[in-house]
Amino acid sequence: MKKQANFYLLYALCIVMLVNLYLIFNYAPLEKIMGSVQKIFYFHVASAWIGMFAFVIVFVASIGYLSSRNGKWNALALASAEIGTLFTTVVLVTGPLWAKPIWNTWWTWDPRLMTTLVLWFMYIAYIALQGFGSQEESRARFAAVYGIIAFINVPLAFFSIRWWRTIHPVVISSKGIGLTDEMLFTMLFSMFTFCLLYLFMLHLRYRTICLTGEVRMIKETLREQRRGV
Amino acid sequence: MMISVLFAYGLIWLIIFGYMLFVQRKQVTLERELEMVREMMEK
Repeated sequence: MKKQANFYLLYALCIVMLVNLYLIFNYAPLEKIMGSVQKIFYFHVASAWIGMFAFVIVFVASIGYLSSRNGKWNALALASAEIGTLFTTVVLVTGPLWAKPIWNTWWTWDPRLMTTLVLWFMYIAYIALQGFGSQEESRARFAAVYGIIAFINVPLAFFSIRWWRTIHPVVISSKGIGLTDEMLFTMLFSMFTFCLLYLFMLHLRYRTICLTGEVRMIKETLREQRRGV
Repeated sequence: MMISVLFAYGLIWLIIFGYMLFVQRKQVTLERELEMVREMMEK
């Protein structure tokens, strides 16, 4: 029954994604200066926002773990960190693809690009930390502390284009939104799609991590029983 | 320029669906393993 529900969710998600692609390529108008390469923007921005949102969840779940010592919080933090890293990878891939024809370079050491790359490395380190050590309790505790500290970089990456001089475009600022109504609607729909995708992936990965823990616990019990016999 | 857009979108779906497929397969393997160890526990 659960598997069936998962498949229906996946089908619904595929339909939403197709609608999103239709909006991007047919509904949203072509940007006059950048042309078709601007179409990358809809996925780039949505991935960046969802990536950062995933790291907010890591932060909240890490606090939850430290205050309750419940392993489910740790599983949620790990699942969210993995998916957040995945979306940040998408950001780091699509950014240079847009930058090459617009900035005439794949990469430049701009504050936004730097902070995003550091953010990516920090969460790669978080995932690696979750895999080290034999004692699950201490590993989860270290990871939770690191998850809270690493979060400092999220607002830095988010506000870097507002705080420092940068060549990265600022679409939404205090002066207004530099998009037409159709472009704005498409961007919001992309964010909605990526939000659904994130929730679906989080549910899937969280379940896998919980299953891994369950299997490990039963195996340990079996081993202890055998030793006792 | 359109090629780089299509390349970007292709790559995004490859990354996302590749990850989802990996997790899905891992889940199936774990569910089987869980069944096996539960049976062993019952014995």
